[in-house]
Amino acid sequence: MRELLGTWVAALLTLMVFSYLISDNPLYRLAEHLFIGSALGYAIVVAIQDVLLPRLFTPLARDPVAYWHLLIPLLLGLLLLAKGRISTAWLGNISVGLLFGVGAALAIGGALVGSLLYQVRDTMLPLLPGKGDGGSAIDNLILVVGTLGSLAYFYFTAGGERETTGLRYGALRLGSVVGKWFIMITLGALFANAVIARISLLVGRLQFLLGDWLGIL
Amino acid sequence: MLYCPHCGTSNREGSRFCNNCGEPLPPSSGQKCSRCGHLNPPGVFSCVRCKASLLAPSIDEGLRPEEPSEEPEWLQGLEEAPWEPEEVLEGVEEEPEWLRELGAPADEVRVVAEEEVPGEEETAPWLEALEGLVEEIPLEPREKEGLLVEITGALRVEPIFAIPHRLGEVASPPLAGADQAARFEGVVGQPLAPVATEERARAPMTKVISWLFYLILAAAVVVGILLAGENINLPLTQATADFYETIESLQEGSVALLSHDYDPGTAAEITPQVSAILDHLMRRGAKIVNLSLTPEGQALADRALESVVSDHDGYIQDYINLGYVAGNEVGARFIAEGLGPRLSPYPLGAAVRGLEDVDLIIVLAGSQELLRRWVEQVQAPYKVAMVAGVSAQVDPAARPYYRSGQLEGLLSGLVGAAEYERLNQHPGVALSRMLPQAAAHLVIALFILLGNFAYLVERLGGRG
Repeated sequence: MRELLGTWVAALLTLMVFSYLISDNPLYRLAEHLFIGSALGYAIVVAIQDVLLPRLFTPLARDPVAYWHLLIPLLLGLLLLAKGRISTAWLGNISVGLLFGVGAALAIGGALVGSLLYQVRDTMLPLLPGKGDGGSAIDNLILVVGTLGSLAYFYFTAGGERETTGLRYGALRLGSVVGKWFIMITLGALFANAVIARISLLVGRLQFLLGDWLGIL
Repeated sequence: MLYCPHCGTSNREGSRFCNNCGEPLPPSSGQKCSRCGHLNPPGVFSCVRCKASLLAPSIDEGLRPEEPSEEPEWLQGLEEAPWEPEEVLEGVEEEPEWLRELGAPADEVRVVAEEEVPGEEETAPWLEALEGLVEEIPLEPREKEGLLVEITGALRVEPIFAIPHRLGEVASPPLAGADQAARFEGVVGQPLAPVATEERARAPMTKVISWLFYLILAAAVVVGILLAGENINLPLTQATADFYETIESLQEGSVALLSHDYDPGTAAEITPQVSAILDHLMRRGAKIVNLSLTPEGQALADRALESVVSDHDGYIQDYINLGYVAGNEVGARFIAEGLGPRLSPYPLGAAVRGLEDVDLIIVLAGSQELLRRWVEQVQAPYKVAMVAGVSAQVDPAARPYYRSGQLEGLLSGLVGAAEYERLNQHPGVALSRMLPQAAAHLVIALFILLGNFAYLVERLGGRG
């Protein structure tokens, strides 16, 4: 019975979302608000059940002396609540500062070591073909030209209105034209992938409506 | 302080031209009332003391013809002898070089800086610095027809809006800008252009075409679903084959860490991937640690585990779902540093004392941020083997990590899941969705071609 009810609710909500194709309407709005509300409610429950209770309140209640260090995150968390009033908002700055500081340090360090260095290294490729490796050389050439062209396209501090000749101007101009085409192709690929992802969702929903709800499949 | 009657800018006492717009300034800082002699502040149309009109009769004639008023002296002078730039520049003995080079014709707007010190012949250094800039200002073409005929640049209606309205005063136009303000009123008062009317009439047709497109797309998908089979001859990509080989190479008892970082928005693509991967891992006899960096991921992981485990008897003790790990970057780093203590209360804790005991990390990411989090915070610093299954939308961002070798394999979207099912020789939901997916892509491609063809025809027709 519970499963049947769940299927009907899911099917009706799916149809309510599809009704947006006709025009914006109260049914679509209702489904939208239900989705946002339920997602938020679910996230709060998960945060309490999976984070706050097992990792903070339960150990503190069981043995406060052994887990005294958990009082620090508890205090920092409570300070965040002070942000609700303008007069006490400054108290929350300590927690916010810690969150942003640690988050930024990890994110910047990670981006440098985990993305930038690897990607720069991966762009330094041999352009001359080895034995029986012509395809790879073409692949490398496209990657190097695309990278340099895209960088040239975003090189704004040279080639102004006064600089209209010269080797530097010519190289940047040519690079930016090539880079523009590479960027356009990349954006096209991104858009195509976004369409593929959405079509997968559509197929999934229609398969659900035809199979689980109507029982045609 | 002198206020410009045209733009309202305050100018130094004794200035002859406005610093901002270059228009000639009145000789005094206000308007002297012709009736009582009171010096009124600029911008008022009637005397503050006696309420007499301060407007010139020629401008105000149409509004109040019966009220005789004596014009201020400076206004009389203006009317008798219209301002000529050459005459005004008489006081300057030597014209600056850049001004001569301008050589602007008489009908073009000419900006003249105020004379800072009377009698000073040299151009001020700040003015010389502007020399190059002034030369590059392009002069806008003069309008040749319509309501804006003979107008160049923008309509100067700002002075009218800048002057505050006062109760009890007649809202008359100021001395300058009245003509341009009238033209502005004419432009904004025009009826809607016929093009806009045509567009409104075309709107229902556009809507019908949209609905037709939706219907055709839905029909293609439905027919694809009804006709779908599992024996689809799908070409295999290298990234999927590498993913499969990485798991295939795991020994029995190896530890795999699965991070379910997706939500219902991308579950249609990633859930089939998860099912195929879990099926493969369980067949290989791997121990599986599940967790999620998104709140929704843990529930989706539970559902996937339940559906796959039922097909693999005797596997129940070899997997665990640690649930949601909060903290974004910190959460990923926390798993890398504290996986052992987190697992210690469970049977799997005996086999996994830390990240060093994990043989493979499998990231199932619905967004590129979540994938990057694992690569940047765990793979790069700890050099752990990692593969990823991502939504098709994330594929362009994940591909460089696969190419650089940071990801040993990559599954992309529903197609990746279908390829994996085929390699697994265990057809599932992904393979059954390939035909409707292909049908939808075909319809979209046809409509794009059709749209471009129609645009081309319209363009060629327009030229002819």
